[in-house]
Amino acid sequence: MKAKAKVIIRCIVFFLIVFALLVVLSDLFEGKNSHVYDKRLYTYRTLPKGTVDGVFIGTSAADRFWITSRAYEDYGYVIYPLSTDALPGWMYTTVIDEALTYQDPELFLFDVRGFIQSNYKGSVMDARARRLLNSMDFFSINRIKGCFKAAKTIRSINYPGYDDWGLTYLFPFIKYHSIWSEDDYSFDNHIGSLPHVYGGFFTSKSLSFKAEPQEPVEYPVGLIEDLDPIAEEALYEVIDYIKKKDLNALFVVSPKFFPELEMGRVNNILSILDTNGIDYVTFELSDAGHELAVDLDPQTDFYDEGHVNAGGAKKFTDVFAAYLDKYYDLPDHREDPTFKEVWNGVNKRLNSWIKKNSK
Amino acid sequence: MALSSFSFLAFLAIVVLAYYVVPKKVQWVVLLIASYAFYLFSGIEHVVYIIGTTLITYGAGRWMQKIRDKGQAAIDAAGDSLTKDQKREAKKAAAKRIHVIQVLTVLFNLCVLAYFKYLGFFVENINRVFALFHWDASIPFVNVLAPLGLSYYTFNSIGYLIDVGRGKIAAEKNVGKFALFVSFFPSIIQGPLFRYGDVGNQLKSPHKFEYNNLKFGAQLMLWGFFKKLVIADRVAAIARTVFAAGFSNYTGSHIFFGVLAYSFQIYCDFGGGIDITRGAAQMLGIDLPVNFEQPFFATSMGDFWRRWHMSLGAWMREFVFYPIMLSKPVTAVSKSFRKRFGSHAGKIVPSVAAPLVVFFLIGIWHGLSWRYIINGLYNALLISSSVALQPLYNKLAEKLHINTQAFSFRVFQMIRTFGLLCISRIIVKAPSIRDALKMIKALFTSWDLDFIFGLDGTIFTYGVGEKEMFILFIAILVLIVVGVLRESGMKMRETIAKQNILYRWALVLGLLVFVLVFGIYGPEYDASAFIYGQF
Repeated sequence: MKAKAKVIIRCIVFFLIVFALLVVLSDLFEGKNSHVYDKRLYTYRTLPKGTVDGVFIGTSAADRFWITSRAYEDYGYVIYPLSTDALPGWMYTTVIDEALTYQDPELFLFDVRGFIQSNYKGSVMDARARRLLNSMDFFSINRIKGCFKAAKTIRSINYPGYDDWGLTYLFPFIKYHSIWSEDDYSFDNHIGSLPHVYGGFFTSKSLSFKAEPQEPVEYPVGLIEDLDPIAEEALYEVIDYIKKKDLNALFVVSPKFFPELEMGRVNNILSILDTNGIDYVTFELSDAGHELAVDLDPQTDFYDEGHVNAGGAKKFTDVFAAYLDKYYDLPDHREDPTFKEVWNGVNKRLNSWIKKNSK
Repeated sequence: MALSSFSFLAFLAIVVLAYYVVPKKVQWVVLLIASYAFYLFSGIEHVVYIIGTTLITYGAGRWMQKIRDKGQAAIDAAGDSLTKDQKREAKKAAAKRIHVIQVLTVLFNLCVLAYFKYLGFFVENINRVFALFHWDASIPFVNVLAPLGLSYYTFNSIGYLIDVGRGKIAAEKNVGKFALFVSFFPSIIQGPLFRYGDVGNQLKSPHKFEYNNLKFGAQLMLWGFFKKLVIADRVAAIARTVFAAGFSNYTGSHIFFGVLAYSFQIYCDFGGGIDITRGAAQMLGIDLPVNFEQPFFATSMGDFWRRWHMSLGAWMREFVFYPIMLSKPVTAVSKSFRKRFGSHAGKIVPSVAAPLVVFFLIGIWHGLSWRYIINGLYNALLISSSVALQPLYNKLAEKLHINTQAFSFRVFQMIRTFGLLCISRIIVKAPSIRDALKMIKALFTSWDLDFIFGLDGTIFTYGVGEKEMFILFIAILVLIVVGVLRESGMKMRETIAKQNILYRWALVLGLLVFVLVFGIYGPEYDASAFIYGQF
């Protein structure tokens, strides 16, 4: 009996060591560019409980437009971006769960761009899903559920040669282990991640100050395009989620020079939202004075057709933050010591970075 | 389901757990269910063929056994009322009937094998003949996909039929147990081949849980993954580049580099797969035959074939080589040669005839194409000639005062054997016979040492970069060291087991991490490409 117990204990210890190795290897072998999302989501998880009033879920349309710290400084509320580049709409419910696990946000903003994507290329959608999943807490139930969801969706896109059961999402190392030969991984202090010092807002020396002139697009009247079937199913899933959890939701169409297909899809999404009684906002690129007009100059405020630079983000945030303050009963925490401890100084730090790097 | 995939590992874990949890007398049922479940992953349409082979072979075996038992019972019942001659005649009559059933069933199995494996070759060549004579006719060819493991389970079934026919073993009465012998899942993809009297009995016997089986089996599987994922799948890129159709850089050093890569690829791919198979079986308490014994340490082609794909060699030896050697026509010719030309000449006849047939069959077992036939005959020629010319070699060694027992001579033999093997590899791997001849010629002509030692950097452009080449070098070094230790008689796993726990775990975990980090697997890698799985 003693010998049997010894064998069992040894087996358990051995498997625990192997598991630990897989966890460590998963942390070591991540792509360098995932650190941005890592920090953003890590910061959200580590903010003191009750210090987030809203979340902005979606793609880069969230974190490159919305400056959380600027809105906090002007109005005192915190709406934090839970976003990763080109996040697919079918991952939005995973992010909602993530938002509700660590905080009690009153307001949920959803970027529509997650639903205008075409899901035909499995390898691309796989990479987009991983940006989120690899940034979540490794041991969290949300991440595990998200992994299986992503695997199921990718399989339905018929991505050939793909491993089964989402194992490569559960242990990203299985996918990334080959990058050792390309120097595209990082060993520096990566275990546990680091806080995002600019409050989740995306900063880039090459993009934040770049101005690529854009041509405004004329769209045919009544332009409506079919959504990708997976995206459409995801949209309805999010709508059901909103209703089931009774979330205060607002869909956002961040300014973009959409191609016709995408604009048609946006219109389709807005029509679906209308039918389901879900609010949304769109923005006018003008200084016309109405509350959703953003004085964005196509010549100077965009670094590509889909994203504003730092200057454009400031203008967008000012308009949107005022709108939210007017129509949503968001609290003012500027005198709250807990909020002050976290958010005082963040906008100053960001502005200092912008000033320093814009020269 | 590929042997080197995560799916297989999970599948195996479930099977092992179920195997040791169920009552011992139904353990074989778990294996049977698992084997057919594994088979079903390859496609439900192929299950028909393995079931067909199983039932026909089982039925034939039972019939032969019945004839033998009935005959013996009749002789026993008659007792002293039959003379010795009458008893002999009765046994002969029974043996004749058994032989007919045996031959027909073996032929049936071979026809199924030939249909899937060789139909294309015959159709293609018949159409070529038509074209040659400008006949306006051609046979339409339908590409048929061979069922998984067809060659392996067919040969195992044929071996069973012959053993039952010879009276070496009694026919299996339980159709389920026989079905397990035919379909045993770890070995269905690429062997090893085994005899019913050995592995068949192990499969149906109960097995108590032994921790050492689990441990040693897992270690062997890990070693197999190392060979397959770290070495074989990495070095395959080099072989693919050099042997690609249209590759024209035919300097000797480039060809040698490609052949070296292919040699490691095929050994580590096949050997690694066999290690995974044997390791999986050992975890279930089943000991499958060893298939490789450090083949690159072989000192002659004959020695090589005693170390390479040993189970196929053993099968050929038992069911082809010895029957030919001992057959009436061959013994008659051998006798006549001995009378006229001396005892050595008499020995040569069977030594030439048998290998010719055996290696022709080994050649076409890999596939019915001219390259495999030529390769088979090339090997046969080398082995036959070494037997025929042995007295001459001995005389030469004596005249030149060569110490054939010295280590240096052994090294020379190993290098010589590897050189002969390189030619064999080129014949098999080159895009065409013409390309093969070009490559063999180049092997003996221009050599570029800058290339071989990586001085001009070109060596890193053949599908494996500098970093990958470094990893390959380390991995092959480990392989060679282990090979040397095993060749010297060391039993690796038992030796490791005697070490302290920290050392053991560090070694195993270190190897595991090495495979995890440097193995070629995961999305974007094709886990199913085992070379010998196609046979």
